[in-house]
Amino acid sequence: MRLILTLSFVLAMVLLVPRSRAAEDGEPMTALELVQAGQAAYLQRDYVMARTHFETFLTDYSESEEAQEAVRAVRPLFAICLIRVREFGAALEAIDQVLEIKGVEQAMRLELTFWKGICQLQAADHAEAQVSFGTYYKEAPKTDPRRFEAAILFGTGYLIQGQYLEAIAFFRLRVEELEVNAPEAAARMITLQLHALLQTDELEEAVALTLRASEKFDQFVQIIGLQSLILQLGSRLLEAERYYEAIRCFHYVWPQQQLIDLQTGRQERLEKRLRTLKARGKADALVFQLDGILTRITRELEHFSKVTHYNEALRMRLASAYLGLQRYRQGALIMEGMLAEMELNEIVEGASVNLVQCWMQEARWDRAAASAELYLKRFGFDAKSSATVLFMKGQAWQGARNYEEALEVFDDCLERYPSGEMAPNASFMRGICLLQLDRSPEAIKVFREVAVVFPDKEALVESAKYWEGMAHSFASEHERCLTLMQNLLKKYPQGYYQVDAKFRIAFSEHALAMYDQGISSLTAFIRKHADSSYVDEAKLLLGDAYFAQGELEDGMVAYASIAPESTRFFEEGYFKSGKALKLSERYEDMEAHYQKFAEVYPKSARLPDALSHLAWLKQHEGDLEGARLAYWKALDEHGDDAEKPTVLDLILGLQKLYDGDEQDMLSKAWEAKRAEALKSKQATYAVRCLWARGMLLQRRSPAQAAVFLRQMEPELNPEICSARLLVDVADAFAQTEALPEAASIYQDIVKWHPNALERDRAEVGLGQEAMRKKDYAKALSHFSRVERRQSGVVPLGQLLLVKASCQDLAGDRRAGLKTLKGLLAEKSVTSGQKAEALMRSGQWLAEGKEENEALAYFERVYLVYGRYASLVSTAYWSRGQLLEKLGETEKAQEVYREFVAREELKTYPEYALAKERVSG
Amino acid sequence: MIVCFLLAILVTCAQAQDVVHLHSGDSFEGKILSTNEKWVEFNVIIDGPRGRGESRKRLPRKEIAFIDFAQSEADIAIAEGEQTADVETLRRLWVRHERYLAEANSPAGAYGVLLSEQWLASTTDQATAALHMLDKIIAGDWDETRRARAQQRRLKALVLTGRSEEAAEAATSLLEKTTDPLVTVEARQVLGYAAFDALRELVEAHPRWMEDDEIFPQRNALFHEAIDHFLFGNLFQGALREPAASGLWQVCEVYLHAKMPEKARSAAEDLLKLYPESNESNLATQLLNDASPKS
Repeated sequence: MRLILTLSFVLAMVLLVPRSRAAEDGEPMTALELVQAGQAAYLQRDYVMARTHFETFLTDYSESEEAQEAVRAVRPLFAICLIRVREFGAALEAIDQVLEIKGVEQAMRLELTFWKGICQLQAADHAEAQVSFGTYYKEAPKTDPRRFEAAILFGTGYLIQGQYLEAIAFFRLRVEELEVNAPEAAARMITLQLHALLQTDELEEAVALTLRASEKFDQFVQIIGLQSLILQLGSRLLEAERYYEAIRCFHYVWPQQQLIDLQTGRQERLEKRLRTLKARGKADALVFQLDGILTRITRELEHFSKVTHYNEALRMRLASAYLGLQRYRQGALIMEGMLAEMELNEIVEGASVNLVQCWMQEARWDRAAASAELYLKRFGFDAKSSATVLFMKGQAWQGARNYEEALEVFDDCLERYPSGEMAPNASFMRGICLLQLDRSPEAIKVFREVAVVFPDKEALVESAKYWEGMAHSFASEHERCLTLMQNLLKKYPQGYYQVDAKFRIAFSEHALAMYDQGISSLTAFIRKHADSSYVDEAKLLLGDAYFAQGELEDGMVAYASIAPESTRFFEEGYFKSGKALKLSERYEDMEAHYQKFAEVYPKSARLPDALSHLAWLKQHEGDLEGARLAYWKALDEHGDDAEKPTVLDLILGLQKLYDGDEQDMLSKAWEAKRAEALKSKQATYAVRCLWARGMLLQRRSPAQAAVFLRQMEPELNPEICSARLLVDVADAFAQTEALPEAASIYQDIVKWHPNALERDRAEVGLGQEAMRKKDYAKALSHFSRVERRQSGVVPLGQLLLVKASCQDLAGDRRAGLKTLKGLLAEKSVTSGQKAEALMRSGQWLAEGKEENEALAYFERVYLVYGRYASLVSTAYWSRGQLLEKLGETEKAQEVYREFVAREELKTYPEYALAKERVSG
Repeated sequence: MIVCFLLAILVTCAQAQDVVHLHSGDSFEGKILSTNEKWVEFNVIIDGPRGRGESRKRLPRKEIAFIDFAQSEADIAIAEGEQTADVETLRRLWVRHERYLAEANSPAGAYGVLLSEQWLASTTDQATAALHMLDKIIAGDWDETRRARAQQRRLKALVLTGRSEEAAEAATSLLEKTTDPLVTVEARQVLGYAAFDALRELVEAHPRWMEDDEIFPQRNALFHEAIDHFLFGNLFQGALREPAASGLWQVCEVYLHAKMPEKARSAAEDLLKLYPESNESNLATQLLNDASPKS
């Protein structure tokens, strides 16, 4: 604007200058007309036109002395016009011409110096451009916004020339000043600085700069450029295995659409603002500045919108960083999002395969299977990794111990890809699943096929052959197993399964009663494979083999060599040795043997067994007191040890040594023991003493037993008390209808002893309490749980009867009848329970107007379950009554007569009623 | 148009006024008296030849683009989060602007959210009041971003008012509707807390869950659910450092509760390395120091 004013002022000086030859209409324009036309065009930003007029003027009048002042005024405008029309070479020349002139106003000089730098940049004369920008930066007023542009352009000069260290040093120095005065410019400088740091591998400083920048992303007009650099930085850190720093960088890279949306919004706002500003015709500098920003945003957006797989690459890198840190869960969660949300491409496919593997690594089998499922749904069964993913899905189900599902998936895998890469493994895994499903014959068939169909897969064939043998072993086909294992060893003497196969051969020989051969194989195995996990089992088998041959001493030596750490084998061998000593009547040795066991392994679950053997020895010697003392000694020693539930077995064992009247004496002894235990603060023992008294009375007087058992309640610590003890106390409460107290203990059993067999009794108790409270749904959930567990602790018949009642009370008699029908089909249910089920079914059916069916049920009771007299009486009476109701009087009379004929039933109230009907 | 023309030639007073912007590009200063679906009514102060006077004007709603509500520079700074304000100031600002909550450009919601945040952070029992205010903003604010922020804060208010189940339901529903990073992270946190609470409850009721065939899978599901939710902020919105770090610390807590000290250490290490400047980094350091073998 200042230039234009100067020009207006000098116009008067050229009024008399002749016309130009280059007028638009053919008529040459005067100098004044040329300048005025140029000026007008300039003001209207028609730089092409302005340039033409100014150029004509300068060509025609630059030599004219009268026009010199106007020429001086026009030259800067002409230079700017040249820049605007991007004729930088000519502009540079024009600027130089102006700057050569002495007395050019400082403001104009500065303005042109800046533009000179731009022209030099365009001419790739970067060093010279830096000089121009440096001059501008030094000489321009500190408030001049273009000064910061000059600083940025100066620094950019270093970058263009590859002088990164100089650029970094320069940006470090200037950025703070800019942050205060020109945040947007500072933001650009930070972007350039980050670029330079990346070029020089100054990654640490680059991370620090990224974090600083992340505080003010809103100031970054070219946020896409910055974020691309951050992504680049993160990738470099990832390559350098600096995972945490990489992750920190990736945190600050936004998804592509978010960036596009942000910049599009900015673009729109800028365009709107520029339109307003331009329309008003003011704020030229601001327009120039905003124009620059808009151009940069537009250019960035155009480029960035074309970038493909940006989000996928970002996510994949982030996931890779977590995988580098062995954070498989985190990696999986990231990749799971990719599979669920992103467009399908190679990156997403690779990530999805990784995803399934990660979930498997984390033993998250359900998630692995679900991810595999989603992969197959999205990519289909023909994608690059579909076969692998389907196979992994099978493995996931197998890991989740859902062998049925796994088998189905492996079947599917074979069906879809019969000659694919995964076919051999899928085939083999089918065999393993069948084996785990206890379907050995099918497994054998599958393993045989593996060797036939995939003979080239040697390792797999070896595995299949071994497991074929094992399948025979599991099916107790030891001869076949022996042959197969021998063949396997012949074919693969140094194979993967050589040790396992050798053991299995010895095992099979033993199982086939080939004891000599077995002893020889087992001895060789124990000698050669002392570190094998089979060695203790082998020693036990060796002992068994010697015993089978009657070589007791050798057998006992073999048993004694079993490591106590392999508890099961060790104890089995130990007690077999004890049995051998007993059979060979070596009682002293036997006593020493069990005495040693009681002393050295007091925590063993088999301690009561050992003590009972010791007691037997004493009794055998006629020393009953000695036998009792052995128990008392053990009880005094271990009675207060809460971690030893076998103490209860000792108590019951001791009880067997007291007959008839002596049991009162024992009860008193327990009373005394309890007093002692309380005095010496042996709380556990004191409680157990009460239990012992209760158990003692349970047969003779259950009610009195319950009194002792209920006394235990305040002293019970359910966390450490055994479930067996707790359930007895709870049942004692239940017997006396103190159901809430019982329920509280049952609840404790579920809480503290979830795996105990007694839990089922507790669940039934809780179910009954829920029934009492009319919470039938809760009651049924307890009963169903017991039904599912099938532990046998609660008789199935008893359980189903109570369940049926509960269903009936819940208003679902149909379900109750179904449960009773199920009960009748169960082999394990007692006949009494079946009779009760029939009776109840009949009653319900009669009430439900299904009389004919009910009649059959009643009849079955007295025909099949005659020994349950009470039920039989009720059944006769009910049938007779029902027939009467149906108008079948004659048939009813028949039933009554049959009933009355059974005199053994006359004590039952229905008998007299029936007799009356017959008489009537 | 005649009204607009007449208004255009009026000279408005100099003091801070509400400015009504029309779709035509014109604008008028005055004092908004009321707004409804059809009209905006306001007083225009006129400096006429016979002194200053007021003129009540009513403009059809369809002609109005938005209203610039009169605010001091300090109030603007508060609304834009550049300056903090105490509860009383925020309450005053909210009361002044509340009735224009739904008007485009109204700052009411900004003050309301800030006031709710202060209430939620205070030790006094103001969570219920905050909840009511946030519900108003969610229902009535013109600004979608602000409504989203209110939704996010509402989750915390629900938790603080003991309505955890409702919070979890709201969080689940929000996750289906929004992609707003802050809301998403907050919703995930709420779901993480819900799962963690349920886990604690389950384990307390079944201390030997690992021996219980039925409880074991339930416990595992809750355990993984809690961790997965708490990890979300860190994995997907790491730029939101505080919530991300807070989630990661909760991961440590879940592992500690599960008696998995090594896993807790790993999570603490991640926290320290990724968010060294967070409040939770001290906790992580302490955990690592406590867990390290004593010399």
